[in-house]
Amino acid sequence: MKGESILKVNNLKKYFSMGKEGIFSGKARMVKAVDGVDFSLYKGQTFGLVGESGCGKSTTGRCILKLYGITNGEILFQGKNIHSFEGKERMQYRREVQAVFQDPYGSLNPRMRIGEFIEEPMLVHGTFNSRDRKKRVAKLLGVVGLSSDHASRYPHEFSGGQRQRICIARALSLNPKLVILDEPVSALDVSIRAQILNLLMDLQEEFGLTYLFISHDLSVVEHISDFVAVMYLAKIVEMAPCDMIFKNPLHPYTNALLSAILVPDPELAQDAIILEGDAADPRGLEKGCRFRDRCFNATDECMEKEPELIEVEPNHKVACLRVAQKK
Amino acid sequence: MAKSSKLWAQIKQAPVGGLTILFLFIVVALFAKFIAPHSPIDQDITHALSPPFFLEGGTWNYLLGTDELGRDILSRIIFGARISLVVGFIAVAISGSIGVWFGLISGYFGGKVDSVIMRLVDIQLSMPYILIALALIGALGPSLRNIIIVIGITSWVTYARVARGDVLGIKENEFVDLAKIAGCSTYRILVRHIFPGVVNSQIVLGTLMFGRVIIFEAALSFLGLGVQPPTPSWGTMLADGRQYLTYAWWLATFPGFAIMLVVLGTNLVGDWLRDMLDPKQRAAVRGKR
Repeated sequence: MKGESILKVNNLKKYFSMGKEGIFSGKARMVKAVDGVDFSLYKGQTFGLVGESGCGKSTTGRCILKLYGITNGEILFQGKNIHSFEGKERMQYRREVQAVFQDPYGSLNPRMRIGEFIEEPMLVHGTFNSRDRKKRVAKLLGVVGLSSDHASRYPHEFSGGQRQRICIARALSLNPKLVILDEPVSALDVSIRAQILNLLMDLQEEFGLTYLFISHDLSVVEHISDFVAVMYLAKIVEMAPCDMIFKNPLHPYTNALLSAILVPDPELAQDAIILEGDAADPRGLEKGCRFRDRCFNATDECMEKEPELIEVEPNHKVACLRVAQKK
Repeated sequence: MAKSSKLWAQIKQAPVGGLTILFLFIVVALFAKFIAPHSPIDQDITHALSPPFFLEGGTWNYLLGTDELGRDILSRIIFGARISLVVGFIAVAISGSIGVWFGLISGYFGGKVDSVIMRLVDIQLSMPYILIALALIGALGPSLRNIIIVIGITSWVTYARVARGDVLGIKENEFVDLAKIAGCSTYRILVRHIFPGVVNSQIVLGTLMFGRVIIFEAALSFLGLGVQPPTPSWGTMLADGRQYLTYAWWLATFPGFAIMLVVLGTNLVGDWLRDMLDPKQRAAVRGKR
């Protein structure tokens, strides 16, 4: 990857406590939501983070947004550990990293006018005076394709796609460097989805934004990402530039995911790889590959040894024993 | 257009009776001096225990009769409305504003803070209201101000519980996370993002509690812990009238009716507000049309 690194995640771990094992046991039960994840975001590029629900991709995003404390590891923003930020530095970080979430209905405060909602970050950070803020709100509404007289309306008057545009306008209000997009189009209709994705890509070009794009939808990720990481049960199993991962997927899980993408051609035979069973309980993973129970390639060795994420070809990292052996 | 007709549908369902009762009592309390035919404390021993006008021996001068000291019952009820409504409004305002804050803090922060506040609530709920009131009034001495304080302190728990429940639901919304990401202070998140979602149920609760507070004040006055004579209070009038019940029933009956009417009025209005402010109910109203 070329370019300037803006955010670096080193061995990030986030465990959630599920209470004590029993009344008389002092040992706390832990769920490993994110268990040792490394990646870097480069300026002006989009990093796609893919995986099924519950694999820890949103938790990773929330750790970067400092909504959760982290269990282990570090997150470096422009070389500085974000969890050491206090006071002014903390506010500076808040200004530079913004987010758009999945649920366009839960993202807007139903009792706040759209104008106030978009203005709020600027108000909190004391940027501009009241008149300039109003002007900027009108401008931002224009940027995301809404009209400036929408500012005085309440959220219930808007559709899902419009709401997501409002969220994007708010996220842009402070001129951030990095925007975490946590499934921003998953709740939208297919037709609206393309509009929002194109808007996001246009804005990226215009404002030089860096995106962390979290999604379970590979076709969407393929459309927008420069670099893709596939997560399975709290770990990254494959990471490569976008075209490489879609042309030459190596990890069996990535293969299975890709075969699930629907092709708009009924003549084309689909050899979908159907995975058996559910993802393993993340509490019971002691040893071995975490994908072994559902893998069509698993051997006895996979039961015993946990694969490392290793570079099998330039820029292409995979965590699979059998792939590593073949190379 | 659609919006205004929706609003109209809700207003059409307004409890005209309840609103009229409340409005009448408020007007009467405000203009007691001009409306009351007599002074509430002037005694007229020669006309003591005179019956209401529609009974034999009743006069038009004393419409609802007089008490054992010859004081006009109607005038005492009119002046008593002041006490009841003042106690109702102020006590609800005090307990509501204490309770909503505890509820917000308890629900938003969770964990230990939540446990401590909710255990306090449990402890208070485990003690009978009247016992706490007896102890506090015993310590502070009976007066109108102290009655308001006591009711304010004893009834905050209901508001706190309801507010906490609302907060638990609201804080899961992504707009709360977005507010944190924007850098909002905790105070701002509580006041601008969470409080507006809590306020509806607090208003409804307030109206329903208003009736209960009036009964509570009457009960305290009935026990002699409330407003002290000769100031007219509905509760005291009930207590005083009790001993004459067998041969001068109007002493206790009319203040009793007054309490019943006000409480009925507030409950009707409270029920209506609850339906109107609850989005689910509102949808049901829309569906019916």
